[in-house]
Amino acid sequence: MGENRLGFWLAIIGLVVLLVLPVPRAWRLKMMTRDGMAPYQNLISMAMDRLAHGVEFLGSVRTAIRERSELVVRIAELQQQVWELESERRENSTLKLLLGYRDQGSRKLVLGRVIARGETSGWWQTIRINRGDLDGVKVDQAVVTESGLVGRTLEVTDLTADVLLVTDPRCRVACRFVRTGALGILRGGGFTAIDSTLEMMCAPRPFRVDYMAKELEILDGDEVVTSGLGGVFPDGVPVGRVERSGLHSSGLYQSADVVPLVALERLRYVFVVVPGDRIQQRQRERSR
Amino acid sequence: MTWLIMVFILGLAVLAQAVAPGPVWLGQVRFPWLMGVVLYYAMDRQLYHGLLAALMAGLLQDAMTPFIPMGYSALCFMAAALAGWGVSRFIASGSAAARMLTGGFTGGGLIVGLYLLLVRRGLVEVGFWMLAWKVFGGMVLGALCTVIMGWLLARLDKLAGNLEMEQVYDGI
Repeated sequence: MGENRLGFWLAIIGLVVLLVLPVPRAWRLKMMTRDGMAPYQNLISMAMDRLAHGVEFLGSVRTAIRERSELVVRIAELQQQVWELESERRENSTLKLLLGYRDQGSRKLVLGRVIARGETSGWWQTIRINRGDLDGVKVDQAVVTESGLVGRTLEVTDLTADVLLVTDPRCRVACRFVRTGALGILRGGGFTAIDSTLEMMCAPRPFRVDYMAKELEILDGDEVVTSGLGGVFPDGVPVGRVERSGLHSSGLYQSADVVPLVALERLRYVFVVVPGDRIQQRQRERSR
Repeated sequence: MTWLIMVFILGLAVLAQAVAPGPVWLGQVRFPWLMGVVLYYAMDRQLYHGLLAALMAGLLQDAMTPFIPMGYSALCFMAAALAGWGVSRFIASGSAAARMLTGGFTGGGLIVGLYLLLVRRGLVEVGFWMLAWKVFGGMVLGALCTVIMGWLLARLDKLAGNLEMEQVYDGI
């Protein structure tokens, strides 16, 4: 009976303490727990990746040899392009120096593996990656893949970072239409039941772009990229293509539905866009 | 030994809940493994076991989620533990059907409870039908996870010697 009462009151006191915990302490507790769990999440994620790769490999042995030879050719072509671009970059730097242009391209990409899809409670559209403060990742940095925009970092611990996906209604991105130059604000459309599978983390609805000047012409298929306004997302990252557009019911501006370019439900690796000097600073700190 | 198993299984449950995505056709609700653990301890062991499991499960869930303030999930899990304990004590105990029903209703109730706490602070933007869909998903998965966890934990407790043979849950 004594143990019962003690346990009961211990639980109640624990709950009260958790509820009234000051924000910095609650934050520290969260970070400690999350960092403590990160290695195990990493391990499970790696095991699942290996398993998925194994299954994929078994299913694609026939095409693997043909694809390999195609890739060899593709790599050679890309290498050629890299050399050309390198030459152009050098030329560009020289010209910028000559013009006294301040270098804004000091951003670096930090590669991260997705170790959890969605958060534990299931209310928001997030992913967790195995890169954190120790790798130079901070809150409110853009996260991209080679196809386009993924989202922004939301909470960062030493070892992990939570990324709010662009499909979440809480995510807002300043964007630009490439063809017309029209500016707008893009927000996530949430998720829908269409095309559902257990594998899916989210079936993204088209994004909604609002507040576009009504005199600008927006066509289906127009490409949408980030505008760089707001400072979180770099300029020119591809976001999606217009599916349909029209005048908003208020009659004051245009709205458009935009289909995302990145397959968010199949993300395995992403890049965090980090200022270059931060990475170098972290590397210096580590080498000490 | 009870506490060791509880902590171990809660750790496994939170990892499973974090890693496995929820099915879209059930409103993207995560598999509520943590709730399954809490209900087992509340229904098959003492109330304080259930409450302390709820406290730890809540702490883990809140810690692994970016937006939820600390303590919200613990509060909901404790309410679930009380409900589970009440059902097993006063209505029905032991049978798989009672466990499944309790898991189902508690799963839906947890979604609503957490939603009310979160919407009060403007942390979620979910329409009525989406919420209803999530509640339905929570009920289905809640029933499933509660039965599976109950079965698994009863056997673990039996192996560890925490339960007498006749006390072992034999619902499946």
